[in-house]
Amino acid sequence: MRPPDKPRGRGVGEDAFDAFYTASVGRLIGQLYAMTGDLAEAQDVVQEAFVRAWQRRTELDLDGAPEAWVRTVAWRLAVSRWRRMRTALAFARRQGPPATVAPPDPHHVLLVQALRQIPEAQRRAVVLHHLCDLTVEQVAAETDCPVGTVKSQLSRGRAALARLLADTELGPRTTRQSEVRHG
Amino acid sequence: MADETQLKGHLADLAESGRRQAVPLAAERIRAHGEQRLRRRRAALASGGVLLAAALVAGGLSLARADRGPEPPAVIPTPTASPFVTPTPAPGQEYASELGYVYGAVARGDTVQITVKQLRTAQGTLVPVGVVHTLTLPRRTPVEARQSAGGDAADAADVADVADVELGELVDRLDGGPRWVFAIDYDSEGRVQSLREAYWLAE
Repeated sequence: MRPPDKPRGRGVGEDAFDAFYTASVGRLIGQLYAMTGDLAEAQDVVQEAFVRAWQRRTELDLDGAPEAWVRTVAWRLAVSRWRRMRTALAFARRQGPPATVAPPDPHHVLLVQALRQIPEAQRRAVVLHHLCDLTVEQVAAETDCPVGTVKSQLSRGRAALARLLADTELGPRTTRQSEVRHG
Repeated sequence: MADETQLKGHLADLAESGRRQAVPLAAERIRAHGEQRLRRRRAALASGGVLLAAALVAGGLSLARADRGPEPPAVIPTPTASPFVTPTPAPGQEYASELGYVYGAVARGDTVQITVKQLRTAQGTLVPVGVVHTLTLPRRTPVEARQSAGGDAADAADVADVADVELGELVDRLDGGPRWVFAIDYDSEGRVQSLREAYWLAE
């Protein structure tokens, strides 16, 4: 696994780092949640990526693309086998009695289940393009893939999701019926 | 899913729900974690430098002795009667770590037997504790490796340049004598959860 390019810049102070963190941590957790399908894991890897960003603060350039760097590091942490196993173990240990939380939205459960079933590379490309609003070229740069590969991943990812969600409440037919019913 | 707009909407809803439910640490805590690691790394690098100097001195002595005549016949070392006690995590800690050379790896079915020569740091140097013991671990035991996996040792600060492998993949690299130092993580029940190469101690 090739490490992401080091952040390049003049470095940041505490206030600038805190502002960057506060402004982007929630958004990045949401994005990693969509990429991983696991909110606890998403929060864990995003925070870890920020810790690493602070370790490299002398190289960090807030005028560049620090959010993309953090997202890339978080993604790589998430797909790391070791990380995955260890986090799962740690997470299992942290779990006490089930907390009283609102049940997840059924639509989110369906979407997460579908996302988990498509290959990681397709999932990442779909999220970067359709959620993070990156162009195909930007997705290619962030994932270190040729543009043609990204286009293929997007196409296959969308098709796979459509197939997986076809007979669910998120499927087009159901949605259209629902729209008619509520319209 | 009807179209790309619909997909975008579903993803945005999902991400927004994640953002709302997330309870991230405060920025100061993130910085504190980073600072703590930097301090540890600097300390480890400092001890690594002293270790290198000690190794050079030891090597010099060894070379000087070579001029005095033939060495006595080699004696096959035997493991010491091991007073090994499984480390226990401190209160509030998830793991307790043992520092030591990991070597003599032998694959046996789904397990790998390794020998651990326990070390401690004293005044910036690595010192054998005098405890040598063996561990039989699952082949799939996760290992955070760097040089032992053939990685580049040049950039010690590059925390991302570490390979995550399984112990079974390193048997060929760890089957010789003591060479690489690892931190071995034990959980509260004395089970080994992972190994992390302390590559900075070897640089």
